[in-house]
Amino acid sequence: MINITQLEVHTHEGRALVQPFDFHLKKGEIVGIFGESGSGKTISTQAMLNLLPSALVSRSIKKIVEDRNLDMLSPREYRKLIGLDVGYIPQNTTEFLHPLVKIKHQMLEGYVTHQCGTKKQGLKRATELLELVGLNNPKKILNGYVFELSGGMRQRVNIALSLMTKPRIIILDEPTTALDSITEHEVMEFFKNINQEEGVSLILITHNMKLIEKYTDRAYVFYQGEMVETNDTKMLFSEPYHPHTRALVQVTHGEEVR
Amino acid sequence: MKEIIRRIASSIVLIIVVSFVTFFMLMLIPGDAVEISLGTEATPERVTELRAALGMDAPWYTQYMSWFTHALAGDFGVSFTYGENVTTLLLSRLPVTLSLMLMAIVIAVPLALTIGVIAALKQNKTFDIIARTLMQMGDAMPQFWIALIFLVYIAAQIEIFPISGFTPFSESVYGGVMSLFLPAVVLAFGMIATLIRIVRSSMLHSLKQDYMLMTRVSGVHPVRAIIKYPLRDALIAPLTVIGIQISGLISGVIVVESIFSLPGVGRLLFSAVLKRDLFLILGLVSFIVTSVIIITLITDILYILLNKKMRRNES
Amino acid sequence: MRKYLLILSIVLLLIPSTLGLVSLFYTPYPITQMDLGNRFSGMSTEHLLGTDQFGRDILSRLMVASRYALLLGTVSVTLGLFIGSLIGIISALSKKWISMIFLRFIDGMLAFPGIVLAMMFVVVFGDGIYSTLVAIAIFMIPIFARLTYSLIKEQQHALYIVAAKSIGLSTTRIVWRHYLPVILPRLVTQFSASIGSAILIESALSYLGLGVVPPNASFGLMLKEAQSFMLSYPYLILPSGILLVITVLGLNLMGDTLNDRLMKLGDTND
Repeated sequence: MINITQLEVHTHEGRALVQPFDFHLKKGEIVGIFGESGSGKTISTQAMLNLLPSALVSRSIKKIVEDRNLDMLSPREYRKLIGLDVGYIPQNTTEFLHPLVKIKHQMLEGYVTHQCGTKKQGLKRATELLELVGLNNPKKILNGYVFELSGGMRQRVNIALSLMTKPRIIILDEPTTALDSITEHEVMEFFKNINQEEGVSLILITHNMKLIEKYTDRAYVFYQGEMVETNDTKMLFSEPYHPHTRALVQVTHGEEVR
Repeated sequence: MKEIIRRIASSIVLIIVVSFVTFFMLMLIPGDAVEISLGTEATPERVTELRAALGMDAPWYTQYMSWFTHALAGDFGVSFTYGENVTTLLLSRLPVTLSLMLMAIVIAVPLALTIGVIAALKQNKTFDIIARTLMQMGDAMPQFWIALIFLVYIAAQIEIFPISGFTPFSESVYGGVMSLFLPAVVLAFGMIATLIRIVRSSMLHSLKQDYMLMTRVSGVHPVRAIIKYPLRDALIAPLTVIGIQISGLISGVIVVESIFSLPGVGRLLFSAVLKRDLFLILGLVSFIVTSVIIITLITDILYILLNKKMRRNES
Repeated sequence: MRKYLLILSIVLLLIPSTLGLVSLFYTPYPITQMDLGNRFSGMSTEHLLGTDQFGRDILSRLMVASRYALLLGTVSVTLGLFIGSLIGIISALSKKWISMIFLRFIDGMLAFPGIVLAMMFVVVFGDGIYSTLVAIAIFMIPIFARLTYSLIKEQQHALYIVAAKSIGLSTTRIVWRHYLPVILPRLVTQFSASIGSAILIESALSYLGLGVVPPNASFGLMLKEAQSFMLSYPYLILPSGILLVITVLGLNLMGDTLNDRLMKLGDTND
């Protein structure tokens, strides 16, 4: 579904932030992107889909998303592709939705823009999704504002938002950092479910090796702006190659690795 | 709620304190105010007479109480120089000043919004740089100088703008607007730099926010996204500086009314100061300062209400 | 880009500064010397910038006016800075009660539009240079007071302050060695920005006849005098007006560039 060749990210002034790397994602896969804070995992993922903030620049040889070359698409086609087929759940829950616009308006953005249905149908779907993610009183939430919700609730709203257009790829950026371990489990199981039932491919960005181990099929390890290793998850953990990966596995397992 | 009441209470206290301080300062005027105002007619008898009539024999705190209680009822005393009730004078000049200020705002705000938004969108490109340079230069120019230039090079050359004086709206709306136009533009000049800065910085700030990422992920057309979100913030931004703007506007009004000979409150205050007309000064200053305090109070309350809404459930 | 602006601002400021400085020792003509036979002359070799309505040499008057403007501006703002900061610091660090009083006091002063405050002051204390200086200083006090107050409040709960307090350092020491270095950049920015305002206010006051009075020279005063002859001899408005704008522009630009520089410094400090 995604095939990226030699993607790199740098600032306008030329300072390199992420060294060139390759990436691919198959249909129905759950791929992990692991790295500590500052290793470049978020911006790499954003760069893959042309979602970088304007202050950064990226270059690549090829970016294929769902059999389309991302850089060859017209702006309109690009927006349609991203809007419909890609979902994104951000790391930072506070500012992802505008504080002065009602939640329902923001949830309907993608849905209405890409004509998934009428506004009424959209609201219905939004309500269902909010219930699905475990929020009571969806009507009230929809008519309210983000600041009325707690951090955990905001995260759930973001999750519901990402599912509005029935995307085929969902990016989860540190989905569990702000959550306690019980909720963390809930959220991850939820997405595992979606992956299995609906065949949605997932990209999981996290610094939590345990999550990688438990949920991903394959993973990429980032270290200080460089993608240092990639393998099937099982192999990563049983036969880590890069010293950094080895150290990580060691810490995670708390045991010596040959 | 509690905070709002506190603000109101402190504003009231503020008004009282301000009027007191003003009064006190005026008491310190060297040279007897009465003597000065009587001018050549200041015979000792007349002076004593007038003093008694004005109750200026009494100790100052009594005078203040007397003035204050009258003021609450709307009676600010009588002006020496004009022989009329201060309140009447004030009310007669108020419409001119208010129209002037209103016109200045109507000119400045939409302009500032437009320029600020465009400058933010084209950050550091030509438009932005030119706009910011012009703002810098405008900031450095004293309002009276701009007024003078307008007067010499525009009003004197073009018929429609009168050099001085004001045509009341009752006579001719067109005439009235025209006589206020140039002064209003001068005033707008003074406001516009700060407004543009605020709008621009608000836009820039909003454009960087995460919700813009949300719009991109949702595949919304960038123009629509900008209108729906950052623009909204930018439009509200000027309200945050209303208090300061009004203060500066009033300073500007005094100068501009004097230069363009407009019969407004500013010019009245100026004459009062020149002639050391005690009650007039007192009344006008109290009125002006009270208005500023009230406007600031209202904006503060609105801000608190909005913030309360936003901070209420922040975890 | 920034560098050019800084250079530009320095160049701009050099003009009034040198003029003012030199005026202490030498002016081509005494500023009060009238030459009624030679009024309104344009630029000439004798009078580099011409003469005014009394035949006085404009260049000399400008030099003195620059001196007054810069002196007045700097001194009044410095006064305002010191007193204002003191008030701000005290009110930020005192108990609620005292702090409230100070704050209300500051708010009170802020409620007066600048010119109104200065006018009142001049009414009471008469016009002239010293009155204007004090009036502007009074105008500046609440600005600095509010600034220092909020800056200190911001830092009050920062780790390094809490640490200092827990060691038992005296408040004065904490203020001097911990708070001040941090808030200094912002203060300096405000300082340079304010000098420009101060000069503008002074010129407005002089223009209205409430500040520097004849036979002294001040930008505002010269403009006022020029106004009477506006229609017949418009040139008169230009020298003082332009020099005034150059001075204030230079000050503002310098303030802005300083601001940018200091912000950058502040970021890397953390």
